[in-house]
Amino acid sequence: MEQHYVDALRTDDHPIIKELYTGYRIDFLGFSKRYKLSEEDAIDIYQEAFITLRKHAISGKLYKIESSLKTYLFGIGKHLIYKKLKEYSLKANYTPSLQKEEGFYEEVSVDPEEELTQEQLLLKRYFNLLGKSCQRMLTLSFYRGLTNEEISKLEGYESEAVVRSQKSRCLKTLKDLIKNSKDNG
Amino acid sequence: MVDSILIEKYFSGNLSEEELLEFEKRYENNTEFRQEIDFLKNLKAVSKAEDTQQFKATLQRF
Repeated sequence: MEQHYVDALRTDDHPIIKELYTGYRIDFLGFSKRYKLSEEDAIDIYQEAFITLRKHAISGKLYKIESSLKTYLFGIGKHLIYKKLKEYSLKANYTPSLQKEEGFYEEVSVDPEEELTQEQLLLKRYFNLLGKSCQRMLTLSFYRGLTNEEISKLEGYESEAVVRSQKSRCLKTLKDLIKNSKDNG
Repeated sequence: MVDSILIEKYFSGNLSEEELLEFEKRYENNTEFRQEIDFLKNLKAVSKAEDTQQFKATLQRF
């Protein structure tokens, strides 16, 4: 897959992401017409497919994929279209053909998203109390999986050491918020 | 290797096979290390949920 696009998704390069997202949208809506989806559903599916594409980029999965980004994106979209058609078929008076079409874009399976546990939902409350810069620092480190060096370059920090100490300060603040709440509760 | 480097490499997917074994061993035998990793894994899940929500809002502006 095109490495520079995968990097752009990982690092939130908005101009490139916008170019990709808007660039394939019309094509995807055209592609989805063959499945007789409502336009509203097709737009929602395209958005969900693109969000899934980004998740796969962040997880590192896309670096091993040989197909083009467009083929992969449409493959995810195809998977989500089949899922939606199954939902349609459960509704009365609507029975679309679930015959899977081969060729064109190969379906890409998507694992269902895990719901946050009770413990994580509680942690989310404290995470939201952090300042935006700490939220971003922790997101870049632990979800996006960027190294301190990469964060330093992306966010314009003086050095990798500054990132390390800033991250450590943010983690301490988060843990203190949790601890204080337990002490007061 | 100090914990902070091992943790950074774990979350960025940059552990070598040897380092991964060291990580797993430490996770198994060191309670404090295990608690820290479990906490950070929860933090990863939380920041993923928040980040995805923000990304969705960004796409809606395009």
